[in-house]
Amino acid sequence: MNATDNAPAGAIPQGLHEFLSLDMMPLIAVTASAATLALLGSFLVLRRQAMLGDAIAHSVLPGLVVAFLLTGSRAAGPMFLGAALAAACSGAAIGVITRYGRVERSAAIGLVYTTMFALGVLLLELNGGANVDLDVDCVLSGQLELMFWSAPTTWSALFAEGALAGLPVQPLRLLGLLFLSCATVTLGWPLLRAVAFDPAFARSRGLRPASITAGLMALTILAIVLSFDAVGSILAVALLTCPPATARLLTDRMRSYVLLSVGLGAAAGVLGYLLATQAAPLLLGASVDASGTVAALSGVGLALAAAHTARTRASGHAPSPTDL
Amino acid sequence: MAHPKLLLCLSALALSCSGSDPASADRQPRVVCTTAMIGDLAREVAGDTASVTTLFGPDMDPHLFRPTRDDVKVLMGADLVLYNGLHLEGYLTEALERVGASGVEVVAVAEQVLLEDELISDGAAPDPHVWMDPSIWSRVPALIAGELTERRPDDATALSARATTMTARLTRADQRFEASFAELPRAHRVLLTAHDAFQYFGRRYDLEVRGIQGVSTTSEASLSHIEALVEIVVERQIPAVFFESTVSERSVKALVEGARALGQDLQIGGVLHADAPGSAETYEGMLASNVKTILGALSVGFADAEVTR
Repeated sequence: MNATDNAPAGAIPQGLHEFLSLDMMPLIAVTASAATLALLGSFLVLRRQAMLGDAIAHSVLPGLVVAFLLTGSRAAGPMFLGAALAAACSGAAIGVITRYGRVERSAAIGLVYTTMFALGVLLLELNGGANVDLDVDCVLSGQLELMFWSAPTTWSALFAEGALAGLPVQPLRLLGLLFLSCATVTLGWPLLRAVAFDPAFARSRGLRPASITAGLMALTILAIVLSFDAVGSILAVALLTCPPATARLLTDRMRSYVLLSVGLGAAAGVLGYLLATQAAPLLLGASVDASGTVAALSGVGLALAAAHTARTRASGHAPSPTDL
Repeated sequence: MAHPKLLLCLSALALSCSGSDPASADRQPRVVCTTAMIGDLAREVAGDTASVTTLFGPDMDPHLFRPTRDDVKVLMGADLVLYNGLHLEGYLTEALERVGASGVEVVAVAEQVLLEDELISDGAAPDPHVWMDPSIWSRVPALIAGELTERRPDDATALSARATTMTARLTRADQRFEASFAELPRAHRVLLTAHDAFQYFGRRYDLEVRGIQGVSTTSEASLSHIEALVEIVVERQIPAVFFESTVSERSVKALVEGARALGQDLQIGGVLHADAPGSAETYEGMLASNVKTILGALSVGFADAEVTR
């Protein structure tokens, strides 16, 4: 009973209790977030709008700062409102610049989101942002590790009243968002498919591509804002683009493309988290940043798929993957 | 343990036995401290009655600390968590509060020992660098002894004796520092440092403190602020500016070059330890090293100013 670091077991979480306390909620958060982002991203990638996700992720910063300054708290409601407004503003600005500035859409996106992000940083600095808990670093990389849950140690305590009160809210919110996104995509599937392939035809059938786009955009904004806590905004962009791009290389059918994209996203979430928290301590001696590992893993997945496609195409077996 | 399913199966059994803690009455309380300034004192006071872990490494900038899963595990297994408070721990604070809600006792040391009129604020934001004033920080051992006595009532006498010794040591050091600074000519009493960590220190030893950056290390110094500082340096003929072990050297160098351009030879006074003990290793060593460095650089030309260790 004299060691500092390996004191005898008491309340230090171990075994199943360790999993419930330390890993379960982050794992739910990162998996739900990755699957949602991959699902919504698959439609962005299909319509060659992947950069729009990047633009949203960056341009919400001034919205978050203004919401924080007005309310003085990091409550989810005002934060989301600020983020959504900022994202809508940058969406409108991209449209206006493309139309009247006579520049390419990607150039307009690049122009708007850098300006918005810079505005956010400036607002933070001007308002003594250095002294509040909202800093650029925290928006960029998220805090998965802090979603711990003081799980009950006995089965009876688990079912006792109030045992679930200490659950962190972010993973539950992300889970809800995953169901909302899946439901929306399932219900709107015929519409989504028509709009993705032939907007003109869809319009002639009385379908409205604009409303679908707006609906998807609203969900994407929601997903990115809610993912800040889980994986951070930069890594949200990685999950929005890498799994769909990987799936796009591996299949030519729309349904399997979307399903594969979601599967790859969720797999990157689970494997990345386990790699960072379970394998890294064995290999490197300490756990590493989980959200970074998840994003890196989704990038590696894309690289592997690209290498595989290049090889099969070189040997002349696979059909060209330029069109679905 | 890489396989969650395997882990679930293996540990389903363990769950039923880990519910009660048979050793809790006998085993040492586990104390987890965030900063070394708290950890050092806790270790001294606890002796062999508790095991003390410090989260922040000796060279770590607490404003930028990112907890890993291992850190969270250590926090959750603690019986007592001692942290600085006043927003020093940034977004770890929220996690500390949640650990507190789960039944672990969590104490914000700086907030506890500070009397109401002693707090220094920069606008609305409180200055967390309370440990820089040893006359205030010497109250910490008694606070720690009180917390530990609740868990180890049998060791009450030993704990309180060790706390008294520690407080006396800090008080003596404080008086030594005060005497040394008193010999420094008034015109030389300007402390120019990388970030605003020395306000409490400056107030205690009657030094005027100017920081290049704000209270937190995350913001960059603005150009106009550096220009204003250069003017002060030239006007008051300030001889030295100081680095800090946890802050980037860039803004300090900008200031030196700005002053040099206007003909004032501004020396680098040395490295101060503000947010972590760094090479000075302990809280006391860090204070002594700072005092020595500051006196050495500011008493240039005053050979009789005694440099105190």
